[in-house]
Amino acid sequence: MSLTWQIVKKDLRRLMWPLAVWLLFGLMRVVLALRMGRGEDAGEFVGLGYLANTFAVIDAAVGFLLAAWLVMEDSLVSARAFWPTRPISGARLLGAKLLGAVLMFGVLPVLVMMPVWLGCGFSLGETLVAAAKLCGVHGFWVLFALALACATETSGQFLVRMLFGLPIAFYVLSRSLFNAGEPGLQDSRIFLMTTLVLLSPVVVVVNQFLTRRTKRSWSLAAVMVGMAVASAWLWPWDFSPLLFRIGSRNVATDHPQDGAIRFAMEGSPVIVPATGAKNPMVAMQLSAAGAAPGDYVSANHVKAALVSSAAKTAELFFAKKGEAVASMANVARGLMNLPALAENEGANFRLTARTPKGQVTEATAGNYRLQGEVNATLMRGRVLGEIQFKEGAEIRVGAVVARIASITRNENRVVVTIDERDAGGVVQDCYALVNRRTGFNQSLGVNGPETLETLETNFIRRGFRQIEILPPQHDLNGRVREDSDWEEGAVLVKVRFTPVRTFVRTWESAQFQLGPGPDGSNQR
Amino acid sequence: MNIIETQGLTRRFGRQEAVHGLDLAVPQGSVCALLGPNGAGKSTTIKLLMNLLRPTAGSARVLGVDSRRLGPKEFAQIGYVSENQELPLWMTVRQLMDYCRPFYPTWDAALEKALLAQFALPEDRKLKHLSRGMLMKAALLSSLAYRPKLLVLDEPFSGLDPLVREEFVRGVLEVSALGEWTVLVSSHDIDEVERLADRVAVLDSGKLKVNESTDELLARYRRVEVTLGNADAKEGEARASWSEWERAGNLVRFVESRYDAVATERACRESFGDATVVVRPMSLREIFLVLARGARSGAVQKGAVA
Repeated sequence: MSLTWQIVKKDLRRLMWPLAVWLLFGLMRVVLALRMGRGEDAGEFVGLGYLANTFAVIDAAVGFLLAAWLVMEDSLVSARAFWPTRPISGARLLGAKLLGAVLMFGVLPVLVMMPVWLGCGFSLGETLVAAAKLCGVHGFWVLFALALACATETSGQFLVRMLFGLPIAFYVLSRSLFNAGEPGLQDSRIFLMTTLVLLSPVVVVVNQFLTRRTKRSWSLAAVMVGMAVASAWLWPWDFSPLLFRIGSRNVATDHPQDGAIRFAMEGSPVIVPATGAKNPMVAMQLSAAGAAPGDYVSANHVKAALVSSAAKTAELFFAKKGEAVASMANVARGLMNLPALAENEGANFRLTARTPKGQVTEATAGNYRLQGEVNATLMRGRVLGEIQFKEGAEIRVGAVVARIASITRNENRVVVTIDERDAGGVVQDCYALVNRRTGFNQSLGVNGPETLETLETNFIRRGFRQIEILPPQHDLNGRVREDSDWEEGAVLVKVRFTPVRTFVRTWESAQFQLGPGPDGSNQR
Repeated sequence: MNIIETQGLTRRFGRQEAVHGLDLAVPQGSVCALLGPNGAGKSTTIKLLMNLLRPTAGSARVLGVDSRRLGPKEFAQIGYVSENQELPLWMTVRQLMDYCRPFYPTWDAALEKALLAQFALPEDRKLKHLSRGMLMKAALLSSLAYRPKLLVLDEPFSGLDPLVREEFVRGVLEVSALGEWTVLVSSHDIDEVERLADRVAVLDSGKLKVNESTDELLARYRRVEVTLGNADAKEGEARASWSEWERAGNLVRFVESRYDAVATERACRESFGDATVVVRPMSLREIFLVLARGARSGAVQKGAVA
């Protein structure tokens, strides 16, 4: 170990200054993302967002080169290298380079970012998640940099391969990634292909360090990438149930409180006619009920067999199209002790499935039922706090900072721009304007179209949200007038939903008639 | 016991054969010079021996281990210095020694100190700021301080000025005198090698032409001058071991590659009759040139390879 460490120390000493500059650059990028635009002009934030994204690309590119430098410092291809005639084995060198990479692209960036994350109010859990994600992102490109560098002799060759070879390889792979495939099978192919693509640099690195047989390394890489591309087009078996845990145990039994959650299909599914070379789609709406107050159930996907009379007609894999915003807003209202709005009741998830070729067509009609499983996530909501309805007012809860940057008028509406900072992660936020004195309240939607711009830099999310308020009005002598002083004592209440767990529920629909939608679309 | 042994060692680069069927043996404790003109395959041979290249055919054993399986254990006993080696130029001399030291259980700090002083190396100067000679000395220092059983020097004199070359040779000589070290030195600089080597291997176009002890080689080669009775006198048949034959008037000159005082005298009498024969010893440089010219004209004597 001490000899491995000796190599690591040598590499760290060698790359000390470029590494320091890279880390500082990364830190500067975060500071810029946090400080840029103060919300008075959201457009400025958009512009600066491009700058920050450019910085992010530079940051990744420089990091990629640094990782390559780490390897090429002790070339595995050159017959002039210093280390092969010293008592250093390939395995030891590999260990040293991996340890060096972990320190350079994992530990050090995390240490540099730690004060920033903690300064932003990240909890321990959020900090750990951010650190793990940062290491994961760096690990992804470091792996490819190590593979490319260890099988390349000169820096010139490396640059050519990096600038031309890698983009071509990724283009070919991405073209294959989403090729037409049947539902479920496509996910299996994507999984297989991604696994092979991620394994190929590992195989190259291990082979090259242990044997220094460069031609064989390139051959192995070519074979694995070829297999990845071939699997994307030719893999015949669907193993998606293993990937999405559908068909495995029913998680509800582990969490009895989820047992009351029920899914139901609203109406009948419809066939969306085929467009171009694509197969027809089946669209349906699903509703979830029975969650505890304050909990919201988000369906992720449904795998179901389309059963006609007695025989199975097709395996369908339904993917969700957007979040059921109104339904979530009602749950949020419940948390704010506000009455549910009738127009939000009965909101559903829209799910669509591409049908397997030749099995379901527009001409298909008859009695069917769907039999399968729902993969869903339980989201738990909580009121994060209230912001006084005035410019500059803010709340800070952990990593969450929400500040009213501006309140402007647009004809008869009031436009509120909120400057938000947060930890990255899957969350859904709802706002409502509440004036407890007058009883006026208005739901202001969930994340979505009102979000102007979001920028996530090292898992610190900064964004602007613009929400419109329709002020309370009254009728005065036949003319509609805005209530005076409605803003006095008003607050913006922020509710956040975070995922608690993902679970699977078996589900079966009632019998239905399947046929094309009235307007040929899945919009009902 | 041979420290280095090759059998049919061959290396091709595409269609070009850099080393062809090399059978070389370097006995323990010897200083063997691998000689040959540019492109003869010396560096390739050394790279094959050091497992920097893999042989296309044949095999090599170094310290009793197949060259393809040389590992840290063997490299802890091998010192390798090459004009082409990429040294970590960003390091200072001190940092290079500090880096190398832990890898060698036999590292001799006293020897390191002595060699540092002997080579007059500035410890705190970065390698990239050293002159070429100083750089080679730093490389030599990092390859000597652990008293390797085998020291391999690939063109160590290339680009060195005479003074530095002298110091370098002296350094190797002094070090090799310290113990039973085996040295393999490749060079086309014969004058320097002659002082070092007790064994010579000559390569040409990837093929081994000579492999024997320096003393035997020097004893085997003689320049012979025969003064005939008159300018019209006819000489007899030349022997297979005679090369570089030339005649000017009554003077005949050639090189005898199988010199034996009695046999050569008798052969001269048979060929030239009652002529005056003067035999002069040859330097290693002269012998090398005879071999090189012979190889180039395709007239290498049969049996020249020992």
